[in-house]
Amino acid sequence: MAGGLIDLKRRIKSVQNTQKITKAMGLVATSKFKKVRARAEKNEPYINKFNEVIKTLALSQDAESSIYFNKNKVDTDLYIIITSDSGLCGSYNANVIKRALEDMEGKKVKLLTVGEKARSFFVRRGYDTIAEYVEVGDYPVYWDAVDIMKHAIDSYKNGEVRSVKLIYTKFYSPVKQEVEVLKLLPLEKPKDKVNREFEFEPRASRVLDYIFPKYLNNMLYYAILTSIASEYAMRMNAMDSATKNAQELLNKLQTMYNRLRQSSITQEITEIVSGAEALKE
Amino acid sequence: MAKFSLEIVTPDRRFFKGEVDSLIVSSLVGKMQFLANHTPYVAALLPDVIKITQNGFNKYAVIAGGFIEFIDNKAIIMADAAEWPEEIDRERAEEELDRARKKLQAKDENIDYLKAKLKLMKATARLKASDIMNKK
Repeated sequence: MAGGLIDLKRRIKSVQNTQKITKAMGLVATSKFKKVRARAEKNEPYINKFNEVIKTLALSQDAESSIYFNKNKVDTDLYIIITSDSGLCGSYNANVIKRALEDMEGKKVKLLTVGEKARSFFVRRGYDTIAEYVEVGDYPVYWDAVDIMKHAIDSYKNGEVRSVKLIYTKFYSPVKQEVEVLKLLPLEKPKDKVNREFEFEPRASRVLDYIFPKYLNNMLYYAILTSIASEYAMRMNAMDSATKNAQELLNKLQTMYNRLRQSSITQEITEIVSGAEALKE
Repeated sequence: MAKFSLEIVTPDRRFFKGEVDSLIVSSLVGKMQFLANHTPYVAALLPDVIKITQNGFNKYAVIAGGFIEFIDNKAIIMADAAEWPEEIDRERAEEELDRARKKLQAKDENIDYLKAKLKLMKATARLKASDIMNKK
């Protein structure tokens, strides 16, 4: 009987420890989440404007003849896949990988992975990666994105891939994050729009060679920021529910423990009383 | 005076939005002024002070490179960074100017001269903007 009590006590202790850890991780995730979310949100107007600018620029003849509008005649697509380095963030990585597999089905692909989770998943399955980035960290800077994007731009310019797609998790709110597939390259002219001509200063090709890579870098930078915000939002939720589950388990264990203790005391008393009774006689 | 709308955004904030009379920026080929109904135009910008005229008043700001697009009487400046003169830390700007100068004078293969030159231009522009403010 006493053995059962000790075992239960040990289990309670261990669940309590786990709960402490999940709680702490939840708090850490919350504070990181706030920081990265603020950064992502500040970046948003710039990205939206940049999208708008690129759309009007794409209407010009000069832009259309730029290399970034080239349709390379190969059958390989490049995917940039953004995941996290560590787990315990709910279905964050699983969602990204699932979406990536869906989108890549039946295609010849090359990958550029960001985050340990994507790297270990795709490398183990023998996918062809042109670069793998891990430990981009919680506070990525713009130059990280430039560094990563360079690989993609190079293989596109060299005509090794016909398109570059970006798979990331867009953050909408702490309870809503969605995996999105964004086609980065080739750039396309918006349909049903008339051409617009611009004057460029200096030469068109030089200005566009400056603007288009900048656009791609910024899109990737934003994608990384919003993905990290999503990651921490999901980690917060995951840790929150883990803490809640631990509490439920603790309550059950505690009741069991109390009952067991009660019954062992009752039994002891019965034994003593009946022993005393026996002595009396 | 006819106006046009101007929007300046940087990666970390919406810097300026409003109807303005005139805008002067520095492109790679020199200073240029935009007035209402300018022809569609795209130019890369150098780090420099820009001058915005709004309702007859002049406003100055420093931008650290980027580009401008003008179309349909709307100008958008996508700046790498932007500051109002009152936000500038003069001491820091002077230090940066000093550092950039030293770097440019040193002969070392490891130095990215283009980067140092841009840094120099940025620091110069910031000091210029802060001078303008102090003169007022």
